[in-house]
Amino acid sequence: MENFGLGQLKNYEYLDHTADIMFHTWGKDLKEALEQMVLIMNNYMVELDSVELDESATEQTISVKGHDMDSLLFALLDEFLFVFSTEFIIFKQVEIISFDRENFTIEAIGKGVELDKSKHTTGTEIKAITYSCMKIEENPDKSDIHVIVDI
Amino acid sequence: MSEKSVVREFEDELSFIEKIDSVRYRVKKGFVPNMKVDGMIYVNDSIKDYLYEELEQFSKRGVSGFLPAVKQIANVASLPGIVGHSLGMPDIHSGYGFSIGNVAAFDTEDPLSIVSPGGVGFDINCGVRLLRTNLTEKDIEPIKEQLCQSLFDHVPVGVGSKGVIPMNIKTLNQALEMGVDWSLGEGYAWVEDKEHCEEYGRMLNADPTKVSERAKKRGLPQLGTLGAGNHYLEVQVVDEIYDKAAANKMGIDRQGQICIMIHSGSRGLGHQVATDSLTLMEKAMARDHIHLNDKQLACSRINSQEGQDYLSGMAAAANFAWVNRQSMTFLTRQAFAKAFNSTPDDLDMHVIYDVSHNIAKFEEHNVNGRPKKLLVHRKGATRAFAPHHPLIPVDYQFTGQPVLIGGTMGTCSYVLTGTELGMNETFGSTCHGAGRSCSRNKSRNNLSYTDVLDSLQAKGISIRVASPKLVMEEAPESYKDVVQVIETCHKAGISKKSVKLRPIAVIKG
Repeated sequence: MENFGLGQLKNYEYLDHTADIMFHTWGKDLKEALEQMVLIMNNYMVELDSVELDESATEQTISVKGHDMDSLLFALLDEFLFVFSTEFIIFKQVEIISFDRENFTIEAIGKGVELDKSKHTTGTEIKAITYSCMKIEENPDKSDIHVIVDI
Repeated sequence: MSEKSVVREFEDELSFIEKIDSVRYRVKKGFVPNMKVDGMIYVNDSIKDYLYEELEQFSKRGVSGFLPAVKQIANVASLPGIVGHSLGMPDIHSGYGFSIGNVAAFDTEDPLSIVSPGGVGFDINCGVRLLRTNLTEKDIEPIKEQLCQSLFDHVPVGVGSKGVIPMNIKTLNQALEMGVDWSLGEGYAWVEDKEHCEEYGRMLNADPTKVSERAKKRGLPQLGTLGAGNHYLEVQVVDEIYDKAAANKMGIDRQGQICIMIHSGSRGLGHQVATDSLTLMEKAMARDHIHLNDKQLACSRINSQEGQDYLSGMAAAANFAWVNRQSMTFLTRQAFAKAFNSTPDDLDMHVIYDVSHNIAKFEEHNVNGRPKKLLVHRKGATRAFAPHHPLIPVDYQFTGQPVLIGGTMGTCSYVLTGTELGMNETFGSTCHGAGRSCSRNKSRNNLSYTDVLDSLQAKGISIRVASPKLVMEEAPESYKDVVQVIETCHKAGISKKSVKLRPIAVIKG
């Protein structure tokens, strides 16, 4: 399989959990850490270095709402999981274009291609996003996010 | 994270755990706050260390990170309306809220009693089905690789796979309501199949209107797909028969006989039903200022609107899972019929049984000598009803309900039967599989792809897997020894060994 690199995904690590998996991402601000979190989840389902954003790539705008930061993060990931599960689109680029911290809403544009098993290396299915050990840490020059997903 | 977790020195923690006999450990009240009953965990000497290690790490680490399974068993013992014990099966490990391998029953006569989606798990009615054939290992051997490939081609597996059974929103609603009865009507099931499913493949309290559009959309393309992770389809050989009479009733009469095991659940539909209700209940608990030992134990009173809606939606998702396993049964029968140029009927491809190991059900059990209607949660635990129980099919009235325990890739699987002792001690429940002992990350880092495949090949096992990294994650080294799990249940008497099955071909996500 051809290697197209991970693209935008760069600040991430997978951490241990007996039955499930924990994602850790970071960025210069929360917005970047959130974008990385969407991408690490996509990378866990389909290895992003096997994905090329060619002319077939499409863009999708996603709007989500929460009642606090945790539920907003949950909603963002749940929405991308939903799009993958129903439309089979794997996203390799994500940009948060609006982030309202008072009303807890996010609007993001994702760029991706439809899964093609003859070209893409598949990973593991994600059953659900969880609040287990969820952590959002915001600091002046670096923000971190931890999420456990059920697999 | 847990709000009221007590962290003590490891030695102090141990004073709350009492060894009763070689396979039973009592977790005494006081181990966590508000315990209404004791916990009871079934482990033997060779697997108890996993639990102790987890607890020891927790004592050192403090309340950050995940809760060890023993703490989770105790937290469940603090939930309103629980009766008997909060039970831990030998394959127990830490999960979301409830540990995987936990059985907990709640008294429906107590108005405070609860139902919790975390006590069922994200994969509602994840379960195991076993088919028999009249073939032997010798018949399979010459065409094993082709058969393995053909099964892989027939049954959609892995991330992003789509089902081949035509479905639209109307037929989906029918399937959610009717379970295997829908499959029967559509020609995907034999009449006898239904007889050999837990609940006869249909939960009557299912209500498709309690399943969100979001969940239905996730389920629509996935009917008749195996999934990924620990799900599999295996061609297995009867390796040993422990209980000849019981095996005969199941149509297993000789070593070398070929069976097929399917391990799968309710796919994205069930995952979304669980997610939806957990989110709803967490919000409702915050609203009503209900504080539990652990936020992940989100629950509602059985008789509340949220509780009733969850039970109806869960039942619909359970029906979806039965239709899913039935659809793959249909595809498997087709693959075998083609491979042997015969018919599924002539190959005697009957369903031996179909069990659910992630479910909550209303059942009648004796509590302190009095029959009571209970809501029994089984999460990573299997129902194991004793002989003569009215809810098991006529074929198994004298043997007890067959209990299907899937091993891990490359290890043996087992058929057990339910016992009277299990009825009295564990609400007629036993283990469900091997249970992870090692994180997926560690498995991926410590094991090599070729080593795992070589070792499978050395055992004569053909394998087709959609995702390469799953090979390491699901390697037998990542799991507790299934033999010890089974031995513990047998020794404790909560289920009885009947047949051992050895895999010869594995299809995985």
